[in-house]
Amino acid sequence: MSLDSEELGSLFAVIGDEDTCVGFLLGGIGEVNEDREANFMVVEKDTTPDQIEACFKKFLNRPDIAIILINQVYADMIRPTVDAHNLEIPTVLEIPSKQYQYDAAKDSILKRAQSVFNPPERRY
Amino acid sequence: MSHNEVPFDELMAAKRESRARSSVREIRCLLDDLHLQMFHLMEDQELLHLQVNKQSCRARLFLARTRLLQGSERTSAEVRLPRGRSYKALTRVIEVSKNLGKALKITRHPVEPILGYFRPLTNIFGSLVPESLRLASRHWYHCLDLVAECANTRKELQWTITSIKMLQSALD
Repeated sequence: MSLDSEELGSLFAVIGDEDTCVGFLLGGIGEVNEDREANFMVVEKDTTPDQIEACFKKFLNRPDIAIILINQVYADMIRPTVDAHNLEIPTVLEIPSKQYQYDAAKDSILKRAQSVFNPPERRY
Repeated sequence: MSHNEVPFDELMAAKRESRARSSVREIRCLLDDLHLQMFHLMEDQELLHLQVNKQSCRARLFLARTRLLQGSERTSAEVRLPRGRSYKALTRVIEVSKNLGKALKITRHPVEPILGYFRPLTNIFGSLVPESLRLASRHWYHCLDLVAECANTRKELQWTITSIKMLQSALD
């Protein structure tokens, strides 16, 4: 994180449907900087996976963002990119959306945790 | 040299072997502890996710109730969310030192329009807002607190997984 963000604090970023973005912005996380760059992206019906991936990578590269919130349904569209991110900061959190519930089996960190341990082989 | 005396080289080799065996045993014990910690953190992560799910659903219900009461047409969120002028986030996270490493903590800046810190409710919806939106705003505040806790657990889980992989490769 940059020195400025250390003094002010770092930002949340959100990639989600309308309700998710409006909701978290009501919580006070929204910011638009002098270059008109926002820390949120509303995914509409015609938003492509490439656009979602570009926005996700942009948020990953910003030094002032510490937590990225993304609806799991959109994380699934860019699953290889989300799973490839294994740094502690920014932390990527997959959250449920209005229509799709959270599925722990798809979460990247839990998949990584499961790959760590191998159950002992059964001896018949 | 009598037949009871052990050669010095063999004695040193035996000592080295026993030291290596005890360090391997220590690494294995540490691995067991880390695995246990990982399982606890996975459980905490799941519980926090459930709470975030529950809280965000509750908050979305308030938003839906507002739309129903106001009877407004569904406009694109891109148009509604303010992007015309720059403004700053009231809710941010800072890193604070804890027992093991650093944790993320939420800070909330007071509303100061002159410095660009606008009240989110009025910034998005204007000055006359129904009570249900104010209630929704409070629920989303609480949701963010849970999200920060979830992020901390996730960071710790990530660190534990990395440590386990390092130790496993040291044993191999």
